[in-house]
Amino acid sequence: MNCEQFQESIFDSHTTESKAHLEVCSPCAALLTQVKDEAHLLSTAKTPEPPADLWDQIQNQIERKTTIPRFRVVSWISIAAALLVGVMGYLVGQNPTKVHTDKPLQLNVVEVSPEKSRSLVGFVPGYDQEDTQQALANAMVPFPYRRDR
Amino acid sequence: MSEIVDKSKENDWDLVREHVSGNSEAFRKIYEKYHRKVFASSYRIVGEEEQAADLTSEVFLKIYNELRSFKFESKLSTWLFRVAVNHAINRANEVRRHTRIREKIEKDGIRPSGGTKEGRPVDEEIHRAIQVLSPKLRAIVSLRYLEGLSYDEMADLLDVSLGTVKSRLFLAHETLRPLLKGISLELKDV
Repeated sequence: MNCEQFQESIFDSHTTESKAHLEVCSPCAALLTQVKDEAHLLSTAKTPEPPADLWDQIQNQIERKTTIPRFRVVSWISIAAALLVGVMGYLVGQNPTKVHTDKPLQLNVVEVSPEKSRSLVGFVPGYDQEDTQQALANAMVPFPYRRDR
Repeated sequence: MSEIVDKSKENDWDLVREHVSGNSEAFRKIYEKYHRKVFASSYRIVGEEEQAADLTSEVFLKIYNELRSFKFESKLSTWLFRVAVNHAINRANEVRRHTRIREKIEKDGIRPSGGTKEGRPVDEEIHRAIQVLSPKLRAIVSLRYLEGLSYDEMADLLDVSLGTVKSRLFLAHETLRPLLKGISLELKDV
């Protein structure tokens, strides 16, 4: 083994060949000592501690990703309010005989999200299911494209 | 020893299974077990505490979902460090700060800078010396001397040959030698 070969395998210096080379080559022995000192220095250097609130930051971001952003909830509440107005307007204007005057139309928005938007139909108690469906459809479609019955 | 390692692997795999099945406490345990090492590796590669904290946060957010596709073929730690180290190398390459730091160190020399928040000034000097290396060499130094990984583990984690690992490590030593020599002398003087 020559010096070049030893340096290529310096991290395997425990082999028989390496040991034999070290016995006859003082520069390589010195280099190995140097590498070991450097390794010791590098392995004992401390690194700073991560911020104490790092977990809180991560947890917040996970929660934000797994829940509906607030602006979307607000926006769906606005849509629900518009639908309520639309339903009332349709029922009063198109088919007033079906309106139960003793029981005013009430749209209760318990929870609103894209996944639950379809259940809005069921939140109009006391009214004909077909009418409410049509009213909701009309409220969501711009006037020129509305298909009135 | 290998039994201990296997036991640790099994425990980690159990935590992954619990996390995937919806136990939120399991992810917290994974974080508690590995976040310091992920932070330390990131710190050594990108060179700044703030960036290292951002990277650590990004890595854990990334694995939160990706743990669902964990194949239970390797150790969780290896998988996690692969994600962390590659992420940090990419970030360091993007920033390409090492050129600027090399110029600064060559200009100013390595002098005590007051140290990190908790560390000794000499730790900060070693850290600054490491920043002279390319991000890939920083990763090698970090994995070998901070994490204490074997050459085989490093080759597996970085997806390179054993020979590449050793030659990169040798190159890192060659580059660091003149810088570390001054630090060794300072330590002997103290």
